[in-house]
Amino acid sequence: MHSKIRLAFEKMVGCSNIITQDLNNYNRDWMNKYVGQSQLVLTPQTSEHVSQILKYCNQNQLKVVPQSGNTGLVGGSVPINDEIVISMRKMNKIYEFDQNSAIITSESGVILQNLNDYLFEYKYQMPWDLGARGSCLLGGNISTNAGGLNVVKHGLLRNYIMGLEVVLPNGKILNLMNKNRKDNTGTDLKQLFIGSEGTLGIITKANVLCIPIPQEKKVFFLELQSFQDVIKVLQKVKKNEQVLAFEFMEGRILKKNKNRHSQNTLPFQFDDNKYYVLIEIAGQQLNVDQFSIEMMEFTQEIIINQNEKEAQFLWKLREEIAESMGKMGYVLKYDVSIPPDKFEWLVNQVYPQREGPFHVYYGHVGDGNVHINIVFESLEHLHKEEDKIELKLFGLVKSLGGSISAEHGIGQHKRKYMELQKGKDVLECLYSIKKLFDPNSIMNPNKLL
Amino acid sequence: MKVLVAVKRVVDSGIKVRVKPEGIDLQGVKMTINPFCEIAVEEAVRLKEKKLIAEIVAVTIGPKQGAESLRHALALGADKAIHVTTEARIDQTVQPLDVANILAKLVERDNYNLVLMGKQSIDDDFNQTGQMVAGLLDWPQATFASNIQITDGIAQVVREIDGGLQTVKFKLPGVITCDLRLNQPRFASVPNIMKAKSKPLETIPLEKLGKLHNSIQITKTEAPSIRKGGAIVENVDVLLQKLRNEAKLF
Repeated sequence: MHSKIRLAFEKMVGCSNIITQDLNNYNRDWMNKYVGQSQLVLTPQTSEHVSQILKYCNQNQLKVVPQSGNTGLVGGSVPINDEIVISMRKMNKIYEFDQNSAIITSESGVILQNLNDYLFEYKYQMPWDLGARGSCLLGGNISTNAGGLNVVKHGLLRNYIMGLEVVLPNGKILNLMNKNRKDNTGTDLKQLFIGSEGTLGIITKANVLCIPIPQEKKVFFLELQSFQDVIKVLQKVKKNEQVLAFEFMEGRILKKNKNRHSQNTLPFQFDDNKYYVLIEIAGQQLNVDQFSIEMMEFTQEIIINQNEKEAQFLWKLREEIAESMGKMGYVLKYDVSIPPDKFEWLVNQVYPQREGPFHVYYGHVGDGNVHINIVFESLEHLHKEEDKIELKLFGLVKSLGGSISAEHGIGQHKRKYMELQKGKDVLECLYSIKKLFDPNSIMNPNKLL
Repeated sequence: MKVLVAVKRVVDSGIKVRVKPEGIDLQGVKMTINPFCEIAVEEAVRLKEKKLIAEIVAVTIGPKQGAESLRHALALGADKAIHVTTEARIDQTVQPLDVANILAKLVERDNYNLVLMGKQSIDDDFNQTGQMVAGLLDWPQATFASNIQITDGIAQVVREIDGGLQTVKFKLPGVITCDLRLNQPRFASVPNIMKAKSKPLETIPLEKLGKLHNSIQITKTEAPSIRKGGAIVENVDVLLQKLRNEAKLF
């Protein structure tokens, strides 16, 4: 890499924030599916650093990839060629939590779990939760409008962002910070940066509205005979505001993962032909008995956790599915939004009689968001089938009025389907906005749009 | 054969605790059955499923919320429950010798053939109560059980001890305390929890069975010091230097 460029960055951020060796983890996503060729990683420690970096890159047409926890599933957070990686992990200061407004102010490189640990003292928590909580950073969550497990109760991440500080591609530090619960002063500019996957600027700080930690939580795990039963249970509990999470899993993956837990009791003898639902309820005064009676209308096979360890274990059965499938081979992952009662139908359209490579569907049925994972024994076979599967799947999703990406985002993976999903007119607007903020196309190129 | 299983209600081991000068802050904190006691209940249920015992009675000492732990034991498979009620702090004031005396009284009243307990509770870690019950009743005991076999009124227990595994045999009645590797408790099913509500639960005020002498005074409770990061040293010279100058060992 050019010594002139290196010298310039040294002057801006110091040697300790420049990495040119052992860049493997920055160049690869955690599934090992996307691999880039970056020669340089910068780890800014202040907004001023980020500003100077971007100003220089913009002036010299150097492409950059902002990187948070690198836990994304669509290749949005890794370089494709030799883009400079700007890792946000050192910007991890938590400034304060205002107990009156329940708003936390911090830099964007804080790990989600650390935010929760900080808020624990005040009996508050972050309003979203996902399996990557120990590694994902705030900025990455915000720039992808991360979904997760609690959307069914708390709604979308973007509704909890009160303010942002964003550094634009030209180096300007845009102050959109705000600690007011209400602020109706025109176009809400910060919403553009939420979910735009690092293509319009780099988020450096945020004000996030937090929620009180519920007094009580209980996890129910149900065994059901059919997917239709899953939908029946969902209809029943949909209006219950204490339902914090509603996840479903196919018996076939739980059965396959049994050997990961030889040391633990399992809630059920998992059956390939049965369906399993995890429901977490949370609130100040839980009516566990009432909920139990309602659930017993659908099945007698229901267990409930008696302590925290059991709750964590039941969640593990759900949260390890993605990782366990990754270990079986090369996985194609899909994450679509369609009416929940169509999940089973959709999968059977792609693989009639459920034949073909091992595939599983599971997920946030409460939000109408299904994850479909398909395993191939070789990357070659995967690439051969990929386009065929996607055209069929996304075509079906579109015909149902759904979304080709419920929560994982677009990244590299689904770029070519943006027109199918959004249509020409919307895309034109998005291109205009991109050009406005990033005329030199330096921000996370070849991602999203 | 009738089994008495003693269960203690403790702070859920999976949650963070706050330490106050007078002890652990129990206000609004999640409580659950002591893990070793849960293992004892599970073992009793398995023995019943093997038809080696006919009736399981679960007992707890504590305030009214203690009934939840009894209901958990009933849901796992106990037949009856006894709630010895007291408002005293179960993690401080309810102490092993007093508990042992109360349990011994119940054994004499109801004629159990076997007392199953956890080896210790995770709040005070005394590891005394089971042994004291056996002493008071003049019964044989096997502690730290990792395997229990019962044949024709003879109990054969494998104990986990410092030197390895020790197998003891004795004629029932006796006391057995349970260790971690004895079994893994099952999940409580919702239908069983509902059915447990109609199983007999007897309430006895503690004063009717014994007294709390509070003879062990807790003088101080503090959180463990925050662990400082370690360091990797390059060679033995640096190690010796650090041991001398920083750890001040010599």
